[in-house]
Amino acid sequence: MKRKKKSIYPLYALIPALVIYTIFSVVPIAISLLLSFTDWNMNRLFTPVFTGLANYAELLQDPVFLRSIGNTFLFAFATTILKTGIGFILALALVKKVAARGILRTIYYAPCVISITVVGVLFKSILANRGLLNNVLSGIGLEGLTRDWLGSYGTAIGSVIFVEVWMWAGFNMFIFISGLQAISADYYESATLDGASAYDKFRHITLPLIVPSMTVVVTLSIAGGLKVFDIIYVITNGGPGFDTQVLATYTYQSFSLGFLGESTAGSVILAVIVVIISFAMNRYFTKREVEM
Amino acid sequence: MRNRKWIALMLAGVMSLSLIACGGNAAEPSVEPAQEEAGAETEADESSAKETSGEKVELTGMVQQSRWYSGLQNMVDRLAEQENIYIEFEVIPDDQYDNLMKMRLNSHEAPDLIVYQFADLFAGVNPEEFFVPLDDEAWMSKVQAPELTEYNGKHYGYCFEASNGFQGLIYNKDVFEANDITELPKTLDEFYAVCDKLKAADIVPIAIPLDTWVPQIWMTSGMSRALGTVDACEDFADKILTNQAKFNDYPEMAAVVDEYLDLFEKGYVNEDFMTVSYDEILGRLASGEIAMIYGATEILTSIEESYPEANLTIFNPPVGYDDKDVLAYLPTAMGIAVNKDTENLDTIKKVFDLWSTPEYGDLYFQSRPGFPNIEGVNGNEEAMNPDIPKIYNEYMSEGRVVAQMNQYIDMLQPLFGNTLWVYFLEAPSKGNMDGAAVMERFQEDVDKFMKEKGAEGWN
Repeated sequence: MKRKKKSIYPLYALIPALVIYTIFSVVPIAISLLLSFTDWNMNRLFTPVFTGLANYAELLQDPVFLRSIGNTFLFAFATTILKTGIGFILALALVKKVAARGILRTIYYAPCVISITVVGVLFKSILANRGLLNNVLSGIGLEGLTRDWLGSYGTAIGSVIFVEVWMWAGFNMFIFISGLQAISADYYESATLDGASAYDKFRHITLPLIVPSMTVVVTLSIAGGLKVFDIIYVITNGGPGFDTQVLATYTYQSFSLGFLGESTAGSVILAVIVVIISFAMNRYFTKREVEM
Repeated sequence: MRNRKWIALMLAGVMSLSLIACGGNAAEPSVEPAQEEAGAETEADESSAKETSGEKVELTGMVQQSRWYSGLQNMVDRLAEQENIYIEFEVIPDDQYDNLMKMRLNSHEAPDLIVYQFADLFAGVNPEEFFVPLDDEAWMSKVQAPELTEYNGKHYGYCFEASNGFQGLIYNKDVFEANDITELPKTLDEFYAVCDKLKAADIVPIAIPLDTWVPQIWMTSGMSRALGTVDACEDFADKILTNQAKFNDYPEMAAVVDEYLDLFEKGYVNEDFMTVSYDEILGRLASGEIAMIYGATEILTSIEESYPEANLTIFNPPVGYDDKDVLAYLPTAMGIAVNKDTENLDTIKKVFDLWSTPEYGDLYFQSRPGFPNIEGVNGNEEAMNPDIPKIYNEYMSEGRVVAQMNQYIDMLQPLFGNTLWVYFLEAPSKGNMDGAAVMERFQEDVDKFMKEKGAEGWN
């Protein structure tokens, strides 16, 4: 006889969460989608007119918007690779019983709890033309390397990528450490008995079993990178000129001009990109997860 | 088991109800107009009753960070001490102010008092829709520059100052004297000679920060000076704003930008202009490391307040496109508009009555001398840099003044900080645009903006 599967909680318990989610997420998303097809702006706040794909067409013809898409991808992929790689290396180093392990973990983790505004002020002064970095470089005889770090595209985008990695690599380190600690020592002992080298153990035990943590880290990093706003806003404000504009800052600027329909269309494009890429990455890594 | 189900159901019900209750405000607009009016009257009565009883009254306001002057703070403090009227001003970063203000006004969630630059305010929001006209107030008869707050024949604000003065180059007198520059330049060549002399002495002649509102002063002043007269400026603005002409139909516009770009090419401007902050520039000016910055008289007053030891003053620089030697002035001033939705109108009117007396009004100018808008208020002119009234009166008396260009085309105000002013820094940084290219690019922004706005001449 087939036994009826009992759930621990009744379905009614979902109602509050569903109501909240619907009101604060589903409804705004649906409204945004609709408004992105209108000429909604500050002067027609309550009387937007349907304009079809005009906002999307306008955006896709704007060189600053296209550049901001490029910058968004550059930022998202560069920071994801670096945050994941550095976080993983730090985790491998600090999961072992090394001296001052607790202090080092705290130090690496600390940047992500600092307010982004403070980080912005801090790095703006470090990277300024007369800032700490250039002074240090001059002090050690490397005047040739000094430059106005936020004054040109290459160094400005490189600087914000560096700051983002500095902030979040320690956070990723902790996710990886918890993943590494969940791997049973038995696997390594068996492998040692079988004569496996350190590289073999890493390649065939650690890497496959850390994939669930990798899935979390990469999904969070790529989604966070694609919708980046704060770090760009506080450090370069999209400059020099419009060089380091990303999708979120472009959308914000469009909103500032009162182009609410266009700004909403920009947000929809950003949301679609974030969903597609995050979903694809998540699926890719989930397929490679191994049961422990 | 059955109990659990009931508890779960009840919890779900309570949470859903609390959510509906939280959203209760959304239903408020459905109140019948008559009821609404009656409610407003009751609230006004309550505010009035509180006043007469000397009970504590609280008002709300919003102000830009850069306009949160100590003088205004002193007026607010005294009001609390003497009248038990408290104004809670929300201090908002300048770059977020416009949006917040418009959104809050449009959604009827704005505070009682909106502090802004008049008459620029009217370019952003329609005063007839959002603000209370104050024509019937007693202090209006003492107002020196009523045109600042006027819109369609009514006056929608209380302005502290009658004018923000004029634009020019603020310079460090000690630096000029130390380099034997005893005469101010009168022609463009003389001006370049001064810059060369300063540069040779390892002093940066002109400093520009990354704050885009600073370099734009050169252009907003220059464009009006290039056109030369108020009539020419008004005619220009009328054609530009109705799509009868393009910016590049007036070669003077590009010439102004080109002359500004020449300063960079000649090496007169600090190299770190894309990253150095305005505050740091002021420190350099006060210390004598740099000689001049673009500015205006109100900026000079603020710098003198921050650096009382520095020997600074201002002059109208000679330019190649203005042979009449015209001065660009600022027919604008900081003031306060009253939100139409306020429930404390009587209290606000009392506040303005008090502020228009010397007892309160003088406080505004104690640390920042200026030109008071209310007759009888002491602008503390004796503490003002003597060159300010001297230059102002000289040009005014001869009629050689034009308002800055931003005033004439203030309908385009939202574009200034977001596009045009950015181009003014991008062009010298990348060397990718001359004056005509800058104006061409801005024209595209104007076309798009005006089409969006549904402006006459674009649709």
